[in-house]
Amino acid sequence: MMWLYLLPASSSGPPFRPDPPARRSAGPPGALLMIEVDVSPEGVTMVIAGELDLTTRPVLAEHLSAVLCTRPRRLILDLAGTGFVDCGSARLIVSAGQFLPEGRCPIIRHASPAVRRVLELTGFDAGCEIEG
Amino acid sequence: MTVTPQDVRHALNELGRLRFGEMRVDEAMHQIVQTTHAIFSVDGAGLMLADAEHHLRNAAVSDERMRHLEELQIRHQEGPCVTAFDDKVLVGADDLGSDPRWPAFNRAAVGRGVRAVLASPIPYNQDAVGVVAVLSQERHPWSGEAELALLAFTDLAALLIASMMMGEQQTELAAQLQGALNSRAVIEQAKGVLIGQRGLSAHAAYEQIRAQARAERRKIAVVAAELVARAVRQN
Repeated sequence: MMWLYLLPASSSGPPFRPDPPARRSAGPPGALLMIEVDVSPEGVTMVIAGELDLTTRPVLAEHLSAVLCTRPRRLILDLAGTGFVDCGSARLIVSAGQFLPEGRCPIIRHASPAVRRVLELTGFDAGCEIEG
Repeated sequence: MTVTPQDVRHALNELGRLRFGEMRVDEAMHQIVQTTHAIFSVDGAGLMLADAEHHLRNAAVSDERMRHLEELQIRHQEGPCVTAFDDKVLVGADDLGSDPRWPAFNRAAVGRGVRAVLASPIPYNQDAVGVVAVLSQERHPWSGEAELALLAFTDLAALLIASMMMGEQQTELAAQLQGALNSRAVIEQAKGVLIGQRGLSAHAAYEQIRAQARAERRKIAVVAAELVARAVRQN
């Protein structure tokens, strides 16, 4: 798997938000949310590790907008490492669809049952393609 | 010679070692270009970025002939990369020797060992900021697989550039691109003025602004800004 951090490590401050003491870190030490970007001939995949909630949403928004700047032909979000997605983050992901080529919507891969449930209850599953 | 999806996947994996946070942007661009060259087994690959004058400048090249491509496209104000950049579409030229699209550029290019070019625009927001291109010194039919492969490498270049533009690390290159994007914005406005006033197509409007800038030996962004200012005064 190829990956790249979107934020330069040499920028001021850590690339990701500092880990609050009570939270379990999903990425490297100090990272609350880790996002890797994988480029393949089929499109751009964001591999997300960590919970998507109010505290991590700004990080998701920033990475998502950087990726959308590149006008990907297909956008895949791999949520295998994500146990929880809140409603606002789900909306953010689905809204990415408007920056994709006509008729395309974000593809969500490896969503846990809990994450699927959030997408279904909010109706956002209509704005994305959910794959195994 | 064919480019297989397996090769591309493998190459992208190799490039996975690129950690842009730990690597200078120009080094990362160089690696992308070297890998693109190898995977296509062509005679040259390059990454060009626009400057404020909308000239495509080499940012990383794998072969000296890319310098000919850069120089001739700037001199003649036309060429496959220019078209890819202006129209934001993938452009393939299998044989510049018989291609009617860029007559002045083609003659010079063939004389310098540039015979076939495939160029893919690098998107950033609504605009293109440059192109990734490969060239061959012989006639070269570009396959659908080759086009897809170049698009994948362009995705990688686009992500690299987006991360640089959004990062706090302000490089000279980021400043150059910001200048290009700013001038592009005013050129878009000026095109809008000409389309509205004279019923021109977007392409014709752009050609007119560029022709005027060239005739008056002035910067294209300056001519565009004047056009916009005049239109504002008239309203």
